[in-house]
Amino acid sequence: MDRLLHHNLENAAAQSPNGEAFRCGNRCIDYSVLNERASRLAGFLASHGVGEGDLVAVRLPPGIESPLSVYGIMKAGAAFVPVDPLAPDARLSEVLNAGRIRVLIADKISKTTVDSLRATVPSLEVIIGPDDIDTTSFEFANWDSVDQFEPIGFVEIDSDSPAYVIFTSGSTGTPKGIVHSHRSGQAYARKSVDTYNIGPEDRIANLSPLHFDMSTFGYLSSVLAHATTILITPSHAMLPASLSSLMERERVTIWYSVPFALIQLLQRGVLEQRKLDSIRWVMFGGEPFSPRAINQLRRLWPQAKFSNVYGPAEVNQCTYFHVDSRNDSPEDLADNTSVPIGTPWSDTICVVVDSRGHCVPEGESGELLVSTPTMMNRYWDSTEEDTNAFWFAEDSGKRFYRTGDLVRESETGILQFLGRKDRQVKIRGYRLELDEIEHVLADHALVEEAAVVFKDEALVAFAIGDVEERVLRKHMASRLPAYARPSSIEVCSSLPRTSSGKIDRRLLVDHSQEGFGESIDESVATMAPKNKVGNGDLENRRLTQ
Amino acid sequence: MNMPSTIEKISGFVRDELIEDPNIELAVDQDLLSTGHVDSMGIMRLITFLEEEFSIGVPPEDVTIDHFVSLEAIAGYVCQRIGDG
Repeated sequence: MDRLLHHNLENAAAQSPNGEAFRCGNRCIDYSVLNERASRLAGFLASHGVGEGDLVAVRLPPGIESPLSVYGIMKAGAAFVPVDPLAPDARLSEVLNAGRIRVLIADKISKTTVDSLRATVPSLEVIIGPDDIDTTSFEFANWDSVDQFEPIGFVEIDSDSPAYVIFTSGSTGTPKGIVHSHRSGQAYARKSVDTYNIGPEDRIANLSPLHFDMSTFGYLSSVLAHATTILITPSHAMLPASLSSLMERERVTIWYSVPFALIQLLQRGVLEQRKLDSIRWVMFGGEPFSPRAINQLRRLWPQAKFSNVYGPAEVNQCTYFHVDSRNDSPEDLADNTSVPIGTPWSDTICVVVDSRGHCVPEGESGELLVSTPTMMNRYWDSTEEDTNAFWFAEDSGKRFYRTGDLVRESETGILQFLGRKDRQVKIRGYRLELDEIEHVLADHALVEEAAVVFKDEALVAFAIGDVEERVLRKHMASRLPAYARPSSIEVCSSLPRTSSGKIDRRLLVDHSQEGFGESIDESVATMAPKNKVGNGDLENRRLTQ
Repeated sequence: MNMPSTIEKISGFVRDELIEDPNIELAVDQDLLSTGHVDSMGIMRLITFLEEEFSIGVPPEDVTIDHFVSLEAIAGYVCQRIGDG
C-alpha cells in the first residue's frame, strides 16, 4: 500500500488520467490536470521554503481550488489546515498563529480581513488567491502564476508526518489542532474505500466544508478509489430543491452528510419529483438521526443502503451500523429506538469503561475508548492535559483515544450511543443525560428536531415542529420522571447551527434566556432562527404538501 | 405590479429584516446566497414575506437557486407568479 496520501493522486493520474476527479457547479478537473497543477503548487510552496512539518492554511469555499490546495500542500511535504471561510477575522488569526502559518491560500478576502491579518499574524508572508486581493504587505501570487512554476519532484517524507491539521475551538476557546498523519489519513481512506466498496464509477456528494472532518471522505477516500467528488456549494445546501435537482443531474451514487442536510431534503427537496435511483449508499453521522426520517428516505430510495457512521475527528471513523444489516423491511426500524453506532470496523478495538477506567459489564453504560490505525498522532503543540486524551492499555501498551462519548454494548456486540460524557448533569442529586432527554423529546411524532441544554440548574428544551408546547409537556411527562422533565420547552422554527450543520448547543445555552432568535452571531450560525411558531408552520406545511 | 416596485419591496425586506442593515448597498443582480447575506432560515422568512406581501403561493419545487439568487431573480419570479395567478 502506498504510504502517502498524495501518492493516491499520482496513481489516479497514471491509471485514470481522464477520470473526473472533482466537480463543482460547471467546473470540473480530471485526475491528470489535478495532479499536474498540484505538483506546480507544491513547486511554488517548496520554492518559498515550505516543507515537511510546516502547515499551510486553506480558506476556500467549495471549488476546484480546494482539492488542488489540499494535494499541492501535501506534495510539498507539508500539512493543510482548513479554515472556515465564513469565520470571523479573529478566529482566522487565532488559527494562523496557532499553526505559525506562513502561507495562506484564500478566495476573496476583504480589505478589513487583510488589515486584520497584517496586524495580528506576524508569521504570515504569502497569500495565494484571486487577483482582486489587496495585499500590499504580503507577497501575493494568483493561480496563473502558481501554474507557471516547475512541478515539484519527489519529496521523501515520513508516514508519520502531519498531512492535515483540523483546528477545533477547544473547550477553553483556544484552537486545538487535531494532527492527522499520512499514516492515519491513509488508513482511513483505505478502510472507507473497502467498507463502502468505492470505485472509479462512484460519484460522491460532498456537503462538508473542508474544515469539517467529514470532508476527508470526499477529498481523500474518493481519490484513492479514483472516484468523482461533487463538491456541493452552500447555495445548493441552502436550497434543497436545487440540491436534489443537482443530485439527479450528477447521478450521485454516494451521499455522506450530517442528518440536518437529509432532513432539509426530506422537507423541501421535492424528492418525489426527482429520479434518484443512482444513489446506492447513504451515510450519515455527527449527530443522532431520527429513525422516522431514515424510514422515509428508505421508502424513497429503496435501492440504497443506509449507514450510521461514528467517529470523533480524532479517530476519523471507527464504527458503523448498516441499517440493512439488521432488517430487511424498512418498516422494521422502530421510531422509538435510536440508530446504533454499530460495530468497530477492521483493526479497531473498542472498550467501554467506567469512571475509574475499568471495563464495565456487558449492557452497562460507560465511556467509549477506541484504538484504531485511523487515529490522530497527537494534538498540535500538545499540552500535558492533551495527553490525557489517551489511555494506554497496561498489558499491550496499545494507545486508546478517550472519546468522551457514553455508550452501551448490546449482547450482540452492537454499540448504542447514549450521549456525551460532558452532557451529563445532576439535578436534585439525580444524574441525567441531556442527550437522552433530547431523544425522548425528538421521539414525539410532530417533532422534527430537538435540543436540550442545562442552564442555571434547569433543563431548557427546544423543539422544531408544528406542535404546541403543552402537547410536548404531556409527552415528556408520560416518558420521564419529574426531575428529568425540562422546565421550559420552546417550540421554534429552527435551531442555530455550527458551520458543520450540527445544532449549536453552546449558543442555545448563551441565548436561552432572552430567546435565542435575534442576537445570534450570524457568522457561527448557518441558520438564523426566529422565535416564532409561524415559520415552523410553514416548514411543516411544506412537508405535507 | 411592475418589476422596479417589486424589487424595491423585496430589497427593503432583505435589507431591514434579513441582513438587518438598512444602509447596505445591494445591486439587483448581486448573488445573495454565496455571499452569506441570506441563509437557509432567511430563505424561509423571505418566502413567508413573498406569500403575504404579494398574495402568491410559493411551492417547494420553486424554491431554487434560479429563483432566489438575486433581487432581480426573486422579483422576476414573483411577477411571473402574479401573472400565473
